[in-house]
Amino acid sequence: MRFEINTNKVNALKAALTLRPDSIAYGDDACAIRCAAAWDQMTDAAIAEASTAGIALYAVTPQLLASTAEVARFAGRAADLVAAGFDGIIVNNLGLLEALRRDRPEVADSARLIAGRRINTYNSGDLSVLARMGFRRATANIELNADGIAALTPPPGLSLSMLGYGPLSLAYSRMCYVMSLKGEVEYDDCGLACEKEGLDLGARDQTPVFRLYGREIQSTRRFCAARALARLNGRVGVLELYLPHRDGLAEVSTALALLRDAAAGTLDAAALADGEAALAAAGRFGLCNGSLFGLPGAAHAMAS
Amino acid sequence: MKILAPARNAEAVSALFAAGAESCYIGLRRHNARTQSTQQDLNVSVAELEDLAPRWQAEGRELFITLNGFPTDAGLAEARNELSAAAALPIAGLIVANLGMLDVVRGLNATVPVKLSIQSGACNPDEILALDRWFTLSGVTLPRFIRLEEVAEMRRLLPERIEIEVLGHGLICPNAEGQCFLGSYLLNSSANLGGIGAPESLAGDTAALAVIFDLLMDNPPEVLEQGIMNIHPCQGLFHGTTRRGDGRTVRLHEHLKVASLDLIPALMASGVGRLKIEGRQHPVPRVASMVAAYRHAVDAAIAEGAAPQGFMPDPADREALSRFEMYRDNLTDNHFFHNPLACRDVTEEAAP
Repeated sequence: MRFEINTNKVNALKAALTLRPDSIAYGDDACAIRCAAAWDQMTDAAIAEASTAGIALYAVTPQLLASTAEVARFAGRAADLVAAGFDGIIVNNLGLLEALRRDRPEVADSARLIAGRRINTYNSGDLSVLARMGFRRATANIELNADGIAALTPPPGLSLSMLGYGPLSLAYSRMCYVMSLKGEVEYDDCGLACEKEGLDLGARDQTPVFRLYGREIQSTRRFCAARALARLNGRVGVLELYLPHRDGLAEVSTALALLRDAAAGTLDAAALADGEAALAAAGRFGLCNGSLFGLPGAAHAMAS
Repeated sequence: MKILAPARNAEAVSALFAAGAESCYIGLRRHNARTQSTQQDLNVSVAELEDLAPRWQAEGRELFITLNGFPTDAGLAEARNELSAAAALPIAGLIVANLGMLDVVRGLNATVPVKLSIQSGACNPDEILALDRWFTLSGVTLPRFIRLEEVAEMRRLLPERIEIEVLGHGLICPNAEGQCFLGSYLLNSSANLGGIGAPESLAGDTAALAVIFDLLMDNPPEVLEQGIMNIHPCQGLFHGTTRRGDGRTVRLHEHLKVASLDLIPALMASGVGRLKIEGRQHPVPRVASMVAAYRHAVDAAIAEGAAPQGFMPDPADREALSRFEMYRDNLTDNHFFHNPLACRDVTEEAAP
């Protein structure tokens, strides 16, 4: 099992290097503005630091690209990151792959191409198509349960990843929820208001339900896959952990340790429960299993 | 520009053709986004269409079969025989969202027309061209968030054989299609997996109802009387909690319906070939009334040679649309020009 930390801030990326993951995914798949801002922060020094540590870097690209110009812009910038030392591109819109093949074929041929979580992957037929398109890794959809993931059969040359730890990305929009709350429904020139004004929303009894994060709606609970790893039939090769901010390093470090132990099969039931309790304490957020053991429903999503 | 009407069953197809639709879409009992509906007369079997489809084709009518779910491995294996039989019918095409499903369809039948579902989320010319190269598409239904200028770009850059369809009338939604998991997270009901969050399906689950309607802050009997087909968590009111602690109440988005009567000439000028009306679960008379209003407006726009801006549809047509909507005054344009939705602070409005 390999472990990948996903972040959209360069200082968080540098912090993540200390955890020695196998790879770091850098960028944003839900918001093109956040993605571009993350890429603007990237430095040659950070790339060199990852390279020296033997940690692969992948550029995360957005899904919602609604014009040819926007596709070309992000394909070009992702290709530039590969030219600067990134190892591959996480593609979330097939148009970006098309633009890469057309405009930067040398990058499309040499970079490791990964189908991101926004390429809805629910079955082995999807995996077969993605492999034929040139992808070397694909991401299981968060709605699949453990049995559904275990049933997936990746073709030779294609590995499978899934969310290991982090908030569930439940939806995203072209409209920015945070800017909209500020009375600004236009979606550009936001100054990344999502960073400052992210808002947890709850039911009438104040039980947290969602978090508005810019254009994205996330779960307030943190998803953790540790409890399901033994049931995945060895299908998953990469677990993704989300590090939203450098301050979350201790939380992700705890999650990484738990997932490593769970993947190695060294945890009995009591140790797993202890590990989850430690993680919940480190993260300040409750944990959830998402859809791994069936669709969660309100009771699971909101249980305190 | 043709009208594509939502048919809940075979009987509805005939009624909607009679009301003026050139085309209808219908779901099979499995493998689409409404398979878990508790409405007994929704969807059809392939066998039911074997006699009817040739007749409709002979009359020059177009029938699309929607297979817009995202099956797991088990579902995809189950679907093969039904897909094969459906693709062999004399139909205008299959509507498909999932890559694996597209691959199975093309493996079974190289010639049946295939249109990308709105659930595929395909949103730029490069993406559609990429999928066309793999699966040979006959059309695409664009996501709601696409602007009119982007529709025009698609028309310029896509081959003419790929018809562009947009949502003309239906529920407006703020979130990217095929990427919204709010229902599965809160309601045990995934749109991609065929779930619909129907209120009646939750009727026996008092705990779930208590939570959900607390979230929605609506009165269940009133909601049901208003004819809500599905519960959408994004339509609820929520309280701002831990991060600000200021007791704000937020409506995630407005209760709005897309209605594009006024935009018909603009849509035609942008290259829209087919206007989709949503609502396979709605009663047939209601859908037929909507179809008739759009039929009248399209014919009027063509007869007048209406310019893209300033088209004034017959007020009776707009009234026909409003008559059946829950939120009578909340008909809006799609996202064709701007974001019509706003996540709003409604603390004062929601205060007792």
